[in-house]
Amino acid sequence: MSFGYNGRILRVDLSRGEVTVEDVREAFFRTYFGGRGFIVHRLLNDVPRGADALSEENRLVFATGVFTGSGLAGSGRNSVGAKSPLTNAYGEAEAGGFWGAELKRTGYDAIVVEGKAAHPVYLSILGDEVQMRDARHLWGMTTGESCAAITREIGDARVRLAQIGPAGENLARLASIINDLKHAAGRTGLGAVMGSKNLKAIAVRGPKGPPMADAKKVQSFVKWFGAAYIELSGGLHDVGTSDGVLYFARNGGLPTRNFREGTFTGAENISGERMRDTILVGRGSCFACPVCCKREVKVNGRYDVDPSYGGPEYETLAALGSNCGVDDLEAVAKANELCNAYGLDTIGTGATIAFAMECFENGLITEKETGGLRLTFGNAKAMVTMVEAIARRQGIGEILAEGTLRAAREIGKGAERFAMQIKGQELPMHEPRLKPGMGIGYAISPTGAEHMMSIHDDIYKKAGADLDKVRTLGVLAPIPQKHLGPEKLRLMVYLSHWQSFLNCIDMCFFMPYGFDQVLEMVRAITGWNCSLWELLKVGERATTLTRVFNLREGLTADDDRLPERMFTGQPSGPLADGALKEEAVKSAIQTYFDMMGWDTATGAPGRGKLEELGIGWAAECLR
Amino acid sequence: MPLRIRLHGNLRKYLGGRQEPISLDVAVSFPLRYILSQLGVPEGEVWTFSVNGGLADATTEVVSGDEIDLFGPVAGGSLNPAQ
Ligand code: SF4
Repeated sequence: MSFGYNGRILRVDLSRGEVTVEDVREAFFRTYFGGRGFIVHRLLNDVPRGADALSEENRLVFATGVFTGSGLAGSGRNSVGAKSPLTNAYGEAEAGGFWGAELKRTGYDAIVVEGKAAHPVYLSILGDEVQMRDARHLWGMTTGESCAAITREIGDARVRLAQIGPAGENLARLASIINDLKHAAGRTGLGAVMGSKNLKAIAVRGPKGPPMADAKKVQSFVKWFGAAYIELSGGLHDVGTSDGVLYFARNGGLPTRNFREGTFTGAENISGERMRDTILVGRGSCFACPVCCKREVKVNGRYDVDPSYGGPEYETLAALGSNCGVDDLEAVAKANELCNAYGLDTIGTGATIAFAMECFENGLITEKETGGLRLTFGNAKAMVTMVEAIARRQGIGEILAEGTLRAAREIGKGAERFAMQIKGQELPMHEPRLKPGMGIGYAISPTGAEHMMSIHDDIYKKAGADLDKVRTLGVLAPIPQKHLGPEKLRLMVYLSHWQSFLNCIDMCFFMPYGFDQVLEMVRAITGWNCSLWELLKVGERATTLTRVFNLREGLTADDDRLPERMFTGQPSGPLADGALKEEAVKSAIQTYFDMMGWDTATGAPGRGKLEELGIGWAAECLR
Repeated sequence: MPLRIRLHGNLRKYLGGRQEPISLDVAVSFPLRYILSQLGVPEGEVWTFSVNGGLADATTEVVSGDEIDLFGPVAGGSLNPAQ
């Protein structure tokens, strides 16, 4: 009997119109745990080396983890992965909401999609009944429109959807996959992979999740968190992740005008407090989570914003707000709504519009290319217009839909210096000059610039709850914020194993659970006699396999680099002297490689490391 | 004009559930440290002090009309994703 997982993977071959079920053994689950672990294993084994990310050869994997659907707060999450069309490297993104938990109730742990349908289709998985249904009439619809249509066709309002909008259909490399209408698997362009397969949506509804080994114990954690979450979750309930806007603005770390600056005079206008006091109409949640950190905003007037598409989170407020020089909260709310309706990554889209604005201000593109639009920093209306243009690939949106790296190559004239990207993926909204360890994480992340593989340097600079947590891993003393020495890298290595593990079990990163609590939860769900050491190894195993995937696809240590701009100071403010030192960054990356058991020059995991992680089979991929 | 004080992140717990900023009438200037003691906020829990949009510290003198922001550790949400 299996606890916490179904032991079944659904394989969908869209070219042949065939659906098969693969049984998975316990040893496999206990080695990879789900999420990232499953995805990278599957991509290495199924996707031929050098495959075009938008071709039939690519696989699109939707995976849950053993935590998903357990009923614990933070268990609504799922991972999606494929070779990324944005980076040509390992692609993965996580989405919250309810879809992951519902998939688990259908009796499957993961779905592997291969091939390409002859015409647009959607999948409906209602328990054991799996159907490929015609989606020709849905192609071109926003996520809201297709959600309404599919729900009607299936005749069950409780069905959950993972879907693409017009951006994914148009193969925009910034396209996301949206769970229902507002929970995005935003990064690495996975919406374009789904579009390339002619797959509009996957609808799921199931009767019952797998049993848990010690349901009573799981329930006691649910009860405890229900009573304690307000105290434990700080301002997340009240103002959501947007609490970060003012904090970063004060510290010089709020990306402003394409990362040229870090303080923004309009920060107050796009802050979490301002949103709460003006346009917020509800606090949304994910499956079984009382924290409700998600925002629901409504605007009528200059823009009309529908609250069913949620509301902007910190990353979105910075990417489409300050980073574009925009302090018009209603315009940012509109742009966020459009991103969710069209299926676009808000981070990549905001960063790409900011890039275009800098190109415009420097005369690299003109009103001729923008169709008369004055694409200047701070032009809120132009920012909103560009979101639509990118999703529909209209006008200059045609090249911007490709992301900053490809757009810069197309524009030429040295535009690459304005492209704030790593491996082709745009920087998230955590300023590396404020958090250098975060910057190292951006550089080495297998998915390109990514903040979910990194540490927040500031929270370990002095004694407090965060340091207390990592003391249990043996990191005993505070580490200065700007420090990039071995002490910082050691902390990074430990925490990146942990974060990777969380993406294997698909637990929300915001849960204020301690390491030991998560261990207890995993033991109660699965019945396995796990140790914290084993869980960290699961995370390390998955991270190492993503590295193997990228090396196999031809990426090198040279791709682990930060944009030039990070090696200059900001013009004024707290980070005027904050330029990172190129040598220090290089040396930190090498130290990280060394600590990981990877070659310090190439970043290739050594044979011994692969064997130690029980993945000696992956050595073959490095030949 | 009174001092206006806002608490962010984990420091919100010292607001006792209120959302609006705290107003304090002060006749003379005080170091921020004194204001903290008035509000019952332990100094060690404040990670960023800000007065009128600029960075400050516990010794910064504030006068009536100043706008004060006090932050606990913030990681993009209010929580440390690594926890
Ligand atoms: S903390 Fe927020 S993102 Fe995480 S599960 Fe709860 S509502 Fe979802």
